[in-house]
Amino acid sequence: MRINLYWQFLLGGLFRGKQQCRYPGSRMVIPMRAMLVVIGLLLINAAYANNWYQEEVTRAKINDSHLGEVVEQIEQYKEIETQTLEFVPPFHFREARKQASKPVLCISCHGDLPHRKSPRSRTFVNMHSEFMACESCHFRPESAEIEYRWLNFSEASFGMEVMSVSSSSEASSDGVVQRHSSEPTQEKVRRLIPQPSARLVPFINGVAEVSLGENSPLMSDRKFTTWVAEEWRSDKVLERAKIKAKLHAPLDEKGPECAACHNAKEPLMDFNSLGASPRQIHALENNTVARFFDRFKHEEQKIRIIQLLR
Amino acid sequence: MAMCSLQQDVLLYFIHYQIKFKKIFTSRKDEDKGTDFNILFNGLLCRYLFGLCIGISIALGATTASAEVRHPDPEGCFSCHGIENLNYIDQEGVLRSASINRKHYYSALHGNVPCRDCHRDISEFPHEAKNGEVDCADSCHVEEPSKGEAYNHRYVVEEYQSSVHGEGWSSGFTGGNRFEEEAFQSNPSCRQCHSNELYIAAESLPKFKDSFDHMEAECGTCHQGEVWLGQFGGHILRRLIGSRWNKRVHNEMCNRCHNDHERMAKLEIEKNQGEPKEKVSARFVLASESYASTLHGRILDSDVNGGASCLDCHAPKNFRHGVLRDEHKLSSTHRGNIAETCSQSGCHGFASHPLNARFVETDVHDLDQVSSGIGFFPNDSSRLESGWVKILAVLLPVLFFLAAGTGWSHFFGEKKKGIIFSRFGGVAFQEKILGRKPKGKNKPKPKPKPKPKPKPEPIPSDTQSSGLDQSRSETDEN
Repeated sequence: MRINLYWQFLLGGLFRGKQQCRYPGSRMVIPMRAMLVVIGLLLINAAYANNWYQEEVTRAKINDSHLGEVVEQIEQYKEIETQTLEFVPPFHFREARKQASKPVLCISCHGDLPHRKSPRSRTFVNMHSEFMACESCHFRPESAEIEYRWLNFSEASFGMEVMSVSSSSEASSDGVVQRHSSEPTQEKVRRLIPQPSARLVPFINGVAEVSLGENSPLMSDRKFTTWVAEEWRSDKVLERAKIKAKLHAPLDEKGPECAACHNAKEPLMDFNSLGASPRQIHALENNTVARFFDRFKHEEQKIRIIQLLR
Repeated sequence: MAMCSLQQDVLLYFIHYQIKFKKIFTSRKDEDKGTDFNILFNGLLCRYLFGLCIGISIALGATTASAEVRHPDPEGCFSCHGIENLNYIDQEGVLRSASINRKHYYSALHGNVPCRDCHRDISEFPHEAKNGEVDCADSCHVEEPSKGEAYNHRYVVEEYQSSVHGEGWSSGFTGGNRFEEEAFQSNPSCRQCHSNELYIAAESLPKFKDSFDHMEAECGTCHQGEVWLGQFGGHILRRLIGSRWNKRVHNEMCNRCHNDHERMAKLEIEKNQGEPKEKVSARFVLASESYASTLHGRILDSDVNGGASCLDCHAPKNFRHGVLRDEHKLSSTHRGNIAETCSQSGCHGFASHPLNARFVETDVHDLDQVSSGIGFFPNDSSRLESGWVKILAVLLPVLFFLAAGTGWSHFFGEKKKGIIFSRFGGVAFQEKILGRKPKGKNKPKPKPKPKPKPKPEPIPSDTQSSGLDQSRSETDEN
């Protein structure tokens, strides 16, 4: 009922030709057409406005020494052609990799398995890239308050937010959702990721901090991608180096430590709001591998496997 | 030792009653102090009963625990490797995966083998590649059920190493050197043909459950107890399931390499020991094609159990890894052994009879049967052994002689204009051989008489002087 009143308030003035409308339940009178124009402008602005990351990229200033390093990187870059081994099959059964999601801006250059250098951690961090956007780890501005939500990366509804299905919430017969049910029957089988193609994405002020590329539903994303692509197409190495340096300026090369998320005291993410059950939260906070890495931090350090389970 | 639920139940049951007994007799003891019976009952009997309980429970535990499903991960390898999607792309651009599907592993042939039984030297993380190398001849902690000895594949490996494929890898396997093997090895290694596959393929599982639903009841009549089923059932099961390795599956395995003509054509083999290697013949390259075109392959193509598979002839005995060259004296396809091979059980029993000596000379890899449409014909002398080539060798000179004679006659022979000279057919035969004139419908039609030329009209004398008339009169004269 209340909602209808709001609609009447918003649209009544426009369609009935009135110049002003009273806000329901108050004496406030607002010129309707002016207000609609303002709302329209705000919507258009929102559609074209860049997110925090894109703003930082456009504002980034690169000094000469850093630019020189990037030029060197570009000149030394050698593309690795992916190969498939057809004749010698793996001895242990391997599940077929699920179809790659739509490529976002980072993946279009780095591929969907971007971590290669560290033999110690590359598989573990690549595993996270199956359900997390790159920005989740590599874009963490100190001044911003970040929250994490699921975003759909599938073909059908690319860029749409996915509502997390709480594993611990069970709908009772009367339809009332009871959070944190004491019966953990479904918890074992239900996965935390709400959809196979969903990715965790950082949100700042309610805006997704991810560059979805040319297929993005957002105008701002498409515009940003077009600008990046045009700059990159330049034949001059220096021009390419500039855009490469700008794109990476707001990012941290090294993401947070495992324990930043996998800890019980102050994890970076609110697992509960992401749909994790108490059992899953416990497993995430007390992850064996994360604890393992927390004890052995140096890249060159050899770790006795027997100590893994201690 | 893991304590099973039954063991726990029994132990708790007896502990419960021991405490109860103790309470009863303690109270009696208080009432009748100094009675020998009570002291005896309270002390010895309780202790005896308690000892008996523990003994029974341990015995039960020992039997039932060993029959339980074993999850052999004492080093905790699955803490990492059990995680899905542990992938990366290596320096050669090959997608690598460190994930091992836990459920699949436990249900597969090596499900009872702890990881370090094969990957022996891995003790640190990150693993050094050389520490993860697997030697298929190594023994593992699984016991061979008939003798109770540590199980290994040593005999299979020895047979393989003495075979034509023996230069391939049977050790030094790591997940990372598959690229190296694919690029530089022509011989098949153990892992090219064998993987850690399921005891029962997923698609066969429903059928298997139906077929072996009775196993516990019927086999258990004699072989009682879960221990037997646990320890020996799996082994026997493997033998039974082994029947899925039918002839077609064998052939598919061989054809994976041998049907790849380009791969085969690159090979060089040492025909006799110590001699330099030579390029393989067309007969070798097209062996898979020629087999499929001849009777053995065609029967097998229509019936799974019919025909002879590659291994039926080339490795009919032992572990079926001992394929040898035809020239090798111990080879089942050597001239001296082929009769025995053909006459093996279920095949051509008469082949070893001296009167059937020619039977074994049948070419079961007849190149003449190979379709010309395969798009690959090696150019070497072995192709000249074909029967078609021999026929052509006779026919071609004859055809050449006929063609040359016809050409000579056409260009240089005597020509008669306007006369049809019949060299062949019934008319010529009657005229030239029989020396008579043809009769009936073969009688040659009489030649039409030439029409008399019309007489020229007299030419007037006043036109005789013109050139035109002069030329006309010349024509008439001619």
